[in-house]
Amino acid sequence: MDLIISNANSQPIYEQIFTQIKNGIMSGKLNEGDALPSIRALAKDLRISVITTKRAYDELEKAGYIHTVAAKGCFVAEKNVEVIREERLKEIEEHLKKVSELAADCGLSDGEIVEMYDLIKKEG
Amino acid sequence: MKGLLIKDFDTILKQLRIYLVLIAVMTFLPGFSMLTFAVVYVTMIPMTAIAYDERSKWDKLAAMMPYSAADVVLSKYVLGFLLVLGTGVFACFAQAVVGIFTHTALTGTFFTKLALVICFALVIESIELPVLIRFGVEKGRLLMILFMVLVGVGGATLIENITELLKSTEVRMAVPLAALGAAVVGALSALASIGLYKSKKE
Amino acid sequence: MNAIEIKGLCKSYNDFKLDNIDLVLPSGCIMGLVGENGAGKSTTIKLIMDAIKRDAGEVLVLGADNRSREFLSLKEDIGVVLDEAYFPEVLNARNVNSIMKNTYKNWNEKQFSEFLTRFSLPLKKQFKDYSRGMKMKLAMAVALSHDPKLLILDEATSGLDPMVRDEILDIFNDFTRDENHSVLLSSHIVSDLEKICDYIAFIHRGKLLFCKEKDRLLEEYGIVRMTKADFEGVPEEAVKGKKVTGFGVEALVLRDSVSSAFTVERAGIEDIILYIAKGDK
Repeated sequence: MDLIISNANSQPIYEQIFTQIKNGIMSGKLNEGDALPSIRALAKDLRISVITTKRAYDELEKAGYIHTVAAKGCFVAEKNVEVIREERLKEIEEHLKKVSELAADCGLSDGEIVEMYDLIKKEG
Repeated sequence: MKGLLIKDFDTILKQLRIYLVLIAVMTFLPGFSMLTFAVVYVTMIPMTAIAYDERSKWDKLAAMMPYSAADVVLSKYVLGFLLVLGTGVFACFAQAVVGIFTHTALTGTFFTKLALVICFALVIESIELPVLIRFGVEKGRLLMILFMVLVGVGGATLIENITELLKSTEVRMAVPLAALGAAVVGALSALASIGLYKSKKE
Repeated sequence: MNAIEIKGLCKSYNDFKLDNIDLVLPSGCIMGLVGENGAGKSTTIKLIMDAIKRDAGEVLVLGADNRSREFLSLKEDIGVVLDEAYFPEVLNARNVNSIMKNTYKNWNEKQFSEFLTRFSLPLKKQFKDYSRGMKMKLAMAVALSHDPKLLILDEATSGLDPMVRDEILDIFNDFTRDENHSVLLSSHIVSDLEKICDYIAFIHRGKLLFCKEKDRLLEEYGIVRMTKADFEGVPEEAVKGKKVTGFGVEALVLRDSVSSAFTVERAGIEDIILYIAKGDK
């Protein structure tokens, strides 16, 4: 798992970790049951404070993304990932429905929509 | 305490080597006065160890290590006593070797004198160490030199002539008494030194 | 168990007073003690190790009162690097190894030798020929080679070049991978402390002005620059220190208490300390 911490921007470090791990879980890079590095190991590898990684993990646990197993460590939580993924899929469906409506409105073909999508992916 | 002794011996090693050459020459010379001088001179060597300690502020570092005040102080006593005893043993050896060439054996008188000189040197150290601990080496050095000139030479000369001055029974008693005296003075001195060392703590 | 617990610590000298210090170093953490020369950092460290007598207060180190008998054997688990106290100048690294082997129960000769190599310290050179940096590195090697649980360093990185300082900070980082290992580090090089500390304790003229989590400090404080007129609009409680120049006002503020209309810049630990120290006049 890659975590990039930036000192320059004003987002607190624990938030950066929280966001990146959350995104990793949401995007499927981190799967349920995957073990996360220990709070201490993560802090030392990133050269940041243990207090901060603990805070990030605490927030992730509160939000239901991860859970701690005593003496074993932190793991990506199960149900929640599925639920969130479901939600995301629903969201994407909604967006796609909208896209198809709008496309119909201005006469864009399916092929042209796919082209636009490829362009966006390349730029992003 | 072993670590402290190793430190002190490593620190004075150079002095010790020079000193060994000096006393080797001295003790091989006939006559006893050189020997006395050697045993008494060795009492000055702990001063060098203490001086190096002061230069590097070693005591501050030692306070951080698992050494008690007693360990630090007593190690200097052990150092001093080992040096005196070592010199005494070396003296016996040296005289024995000389004796081979002069066809004289070591006499009881020699051992008596040697034992007394050793006790005397130990008492000098018992006075020297508290002074150095209390005043440090700079000020202590002057005091010690004065002391050595007055007492050291005087006492040593006394001992050399001891057998002429005392009757035989008294001579026999002299060594055990001197040993006891040196031990008592040594113990009292050590206790005082530990107290002085502790009182230096800010 | 906390590595260090200090309550109400006081010490008076003729011209200086360490006044009522309360400090806790939790196990597994690195705390930076920062302050100007003469602020009281070294005094605090000496008091922690009972190298000088405290006038008042409680000091617990690794769970034991530092005046108890137990403390003497706890020193086996404490590695200390001081600013100006060393081994006698005629000794060399090899001598130090023999001495320490007979001083600490857990002396690790192999580890010491590895540190000597890593720090490029010659075995047989006498300390009188050592540079200040070399002396520091040797002291560090000694402190790390007897399996300590707590490291205490007094200005140990001053006088070292940036590469070496960085390496030493790495060593502290690795040292605290074990949650039972803690570090107390005093320095006036704030940038070093900002890199690795979990907590920052600021001592100024004998008083502890704050002891806080480093990341919280960086999150909570910020710097604003504005005209004197605009500055009137900033609530007083939000301002923790300020500089008034001919061109306006520069102030250290609590981010949360300042309206988002103002641009708040990042405040580094050194900034925070300078502003707060000024405010203390």
